[in-house]
Amino acid sequence: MSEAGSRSGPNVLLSLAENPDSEPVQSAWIGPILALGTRLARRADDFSGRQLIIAISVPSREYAAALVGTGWTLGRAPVQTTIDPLTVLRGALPRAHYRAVNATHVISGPFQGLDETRPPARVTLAGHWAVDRMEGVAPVAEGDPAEKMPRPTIGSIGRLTGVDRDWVRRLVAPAADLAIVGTKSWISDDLEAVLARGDDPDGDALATLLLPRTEKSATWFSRIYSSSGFADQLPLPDDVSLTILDGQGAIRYLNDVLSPIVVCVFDRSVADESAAEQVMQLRNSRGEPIALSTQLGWAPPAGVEALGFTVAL
Amino acid sequence: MTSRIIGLDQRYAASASLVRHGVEIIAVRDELGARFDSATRGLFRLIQRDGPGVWDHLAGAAKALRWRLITDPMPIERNAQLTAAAGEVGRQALRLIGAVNEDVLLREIADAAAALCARDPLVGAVLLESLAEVGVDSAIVVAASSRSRETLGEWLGSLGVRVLTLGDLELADVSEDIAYFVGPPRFFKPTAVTAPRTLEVTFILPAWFGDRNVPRSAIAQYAEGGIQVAARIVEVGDAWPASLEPGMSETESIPEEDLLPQPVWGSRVSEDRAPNADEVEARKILLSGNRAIWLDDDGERIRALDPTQPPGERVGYSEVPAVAPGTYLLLREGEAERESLHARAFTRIGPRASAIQESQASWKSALIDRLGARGIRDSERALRALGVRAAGQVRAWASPHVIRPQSDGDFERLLGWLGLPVQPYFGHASLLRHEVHRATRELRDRLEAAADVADLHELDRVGHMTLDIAEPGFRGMFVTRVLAIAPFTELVARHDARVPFADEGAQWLE
Repeated sequence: MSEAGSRSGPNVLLSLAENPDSEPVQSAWIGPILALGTRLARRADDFSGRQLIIAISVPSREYAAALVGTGWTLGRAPVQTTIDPLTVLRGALPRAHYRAVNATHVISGPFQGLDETRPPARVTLAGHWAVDRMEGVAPVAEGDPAEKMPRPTIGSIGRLTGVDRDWVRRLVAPAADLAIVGTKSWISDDLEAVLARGDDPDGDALATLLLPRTEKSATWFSRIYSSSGFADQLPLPDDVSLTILDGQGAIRYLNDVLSPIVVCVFDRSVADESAAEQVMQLRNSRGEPIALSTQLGWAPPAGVEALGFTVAL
Repeated sequence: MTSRIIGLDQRYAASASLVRHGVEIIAVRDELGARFDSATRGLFRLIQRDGPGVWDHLAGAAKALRWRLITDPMPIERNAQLTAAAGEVGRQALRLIGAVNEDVLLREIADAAAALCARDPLVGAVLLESLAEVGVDSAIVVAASSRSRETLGEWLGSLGVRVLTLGDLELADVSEDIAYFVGPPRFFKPTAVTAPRTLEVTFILPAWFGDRNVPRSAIAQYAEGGIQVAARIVEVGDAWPASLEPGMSETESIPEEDLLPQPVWGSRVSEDRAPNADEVEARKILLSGNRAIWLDDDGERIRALDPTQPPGERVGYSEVPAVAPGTYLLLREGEAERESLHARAFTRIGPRASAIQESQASWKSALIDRLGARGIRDSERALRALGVRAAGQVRAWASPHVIRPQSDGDFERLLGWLGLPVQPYFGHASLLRHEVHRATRELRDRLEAAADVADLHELDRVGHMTLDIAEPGFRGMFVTRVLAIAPFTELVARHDARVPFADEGAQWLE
C-alpha cells in the first residue's frame, strides 16, 4: 500500500474512474504504482551523484506513468520560500515574473508595480489585483504560458496525502521537476481519470494532481513530451529531477536522458523486446543493481515486475 | 464496450493468474505427423552433410507442410492448405528420385506426406474436445497467423467460437476465461503469456514439435516480482512408439529453428576486415514491396512509422537495434533521409554553410584521430573523468551524421579535451543542429499529415504504401514493413547505406 494509504488504514484501496462521469473501480495495483512515485520523491537525494533507473513492466501501459508521476508530485515538497503576498511583493523586482493565487484564480506575469497609497493595496501583475485577497505569491524563474487560469481544487487525495495543507504554496511555488515522455494523446486521456481513496465522492483528476504545462497554464507541476518528436526537443531542461519514459518508444531515449531519476514503464502488451534489451544492457554493463524492497522500501503489486540500478552520470 | 479501467483491471488479474498457475501445454501424440517429422529431420541431416542446392525446393515444401500441420489442424475435408502442402512435398520428392541417390529417404518423405491426408489432424480433434469441455462461450482460439485465423475461423466460427490472432486479441474486448493457442509458444510473441487477456492460457501442439519453452518478459530474470510463467505439459493422443520420442539423440542435432520457414541469406561475401573510411558495416533488410536497404548502425536513428499510435504521433524514430520484422520504416526513393535534411538545413543557412561544414569536419577529424590514438574505452574514461555525462556516446559523436553531443557542457568539455577552442565549433554545430531539427520537424509535420489521410489498414494488408507529399524536397517518401533482417553484416559503401533499392529476395515471404 502507498505510504499515503497506510496512514489511513491498510485496508482502504484507491479507486480510479475513467473520467468524472464513469464508475470508479477499486483495485490493489493502483496504490502501489502511485507509491513508487512517492517513494522516489522522498528518496530522490539518497542516490546523489549517480543516476537512478527504475524499470517496471505492466500488463498494459495505461495509467501507470500517470500514477507514478502523480505519486512523485504529491511527494515532492514545494519550494520553501515565503509566500506571504505583501512581503513578497514589497521586495519584488520590476519585470520579474511572479505567480499569485486568490480564491478563484492562479495569476502569472511580470511584476509591474505595487500601489499601497490607499488600502487595500493593489498589485499590477497580468491585471490589477487586490493584495489582501491573495493567499500566496512567489517568484518564478521563467514566464508561464498563460496569465490566468482557474484555481485547481483538491479533494480526496489532497486530504489523504496532506497536500491540502500546503496547496497554495504548491500552486505558486511547485517543485515542477517532472517530465513524462510518451504518446502524448494517450497520456492526456489517462489524465482525465479521477483518483480517490475508497468510496470518497470527491476524487481528484490526475490532471489536477500532475498539472501538466499546457498553453493554458499559469502554473504547472510537470511537462509532457511526445516521444515521436522527442529527438528534436533534446536535451531536457536541467531542472528535471524525474523523467518517466512511458512505453518502449520513449524508453529508446534512455541514453539521452540525464535527469537524476528515470522510470521506464514497459508495456508488456506491446511485442518489442529491443527497448528492454537496451535497458538490461545498460544495467549489466554500467549499472549497480539496487534492491527495491530494501533500498526503496517498495514492492511491486501482482502483475507488475520491477528492477532498479544506478549508473554513473 | 467494457470500461477502460475494468478492462485494465482484468489484464492485471490475468497476468497475476498466469504467474501463479502457469500455462498448460497439450502435446498431442500423432503417429502420422511424427512419421513425417522424422522423415523431414532425415532430409535435414542430409542437407547438413551435403549443403543445400539440389534439396532447396523439397526442404522448403517440407518446412511449409510441417508448419501447416501445427497451425492449421482442420479436418482433411476442409483443409485444402494441408492437402496442397502435402501434394507439393510429394511432387518435389518424386522430382528428385533418380536424380540423387537417396531414393529410400525420398520415398519415405513422399509416403509420409501422403499419409497425412488419410486422417483428420489429431490436434484439431483435441482442440474441439477442449472447446466442448469448457463451453464455446468461455473460450477463445488464437491462431498463429492471419491466414490461419481465416481457415480456423471458417471451421470453428460455425460453432460460435471466436478465432483471433494475437494482434487481434490485444485490441479485442475479452470476456472469455481461457485462450487456446494453436501452436507452440514460440510461434507467438511473448505477450501471449506476459500480458495475457484471459485467466487461463493453453497451447495445443503436436508432441513431435520439440520446443516447448515458454517465453518470459525481457526483464524478468533480474526483476522483483518477475513475470515468469511455468508450463504444465499434458500428453494426449496416439500411443507413442518409443523410437519416435522427440528429443532423442538423433533429432537433437537439428534445432526447430532450422525447420521453420525462413529466408535464405547465403553467407557473407565481404572480406573479413574493418570498414575503411568510405564504408560501413550494414545488414541487409528485406522490405515489403520488393525492396531492401543496407542498414548501418552508426548511432543515428532511422525514421519509422507506428500505425498503432494515434494521429499526430505516428512518425518517429527507431534505434537501429530496435528495427525488427514488423517495424515500418519511412524511406525516400533514391536517397537516405539524413542527406536530404542536411541539404535542406545548409540551404537555409546560406553563405555560412561552407564555414560550418569545415568546422564540423575539423573537430570530428580531431576526435577520430584521438579515438584512434587512445582507443575508445580509454577515451570514454578520460571524458567521464572530465565530467562528460554522455561519454558512452563518444564514438557516435565522431560520425558525420551526429551533429554534436546533446548537452552543452559535454560538448564544451569534449572540445577542451581535443585541445580545441569552444568557438567557432560550438556555435557552428549548434546552428546546424537547430536548422536540421527545424527541417526534421517540418518533414515530420508533412509526414504526419500524409499519414493521417492515408489508409493505414491498407498498410497492414499490403505492407507498403507511398505517402503523398507534393512539396519539392519531400517527394518520394514511402512506408514499408520490415520483413526480415540478415543475420550478418556486409561492408557497403557509405553512400549506399539506407538508400532503398529493388530486391526480389523477400518475394516468397509475402
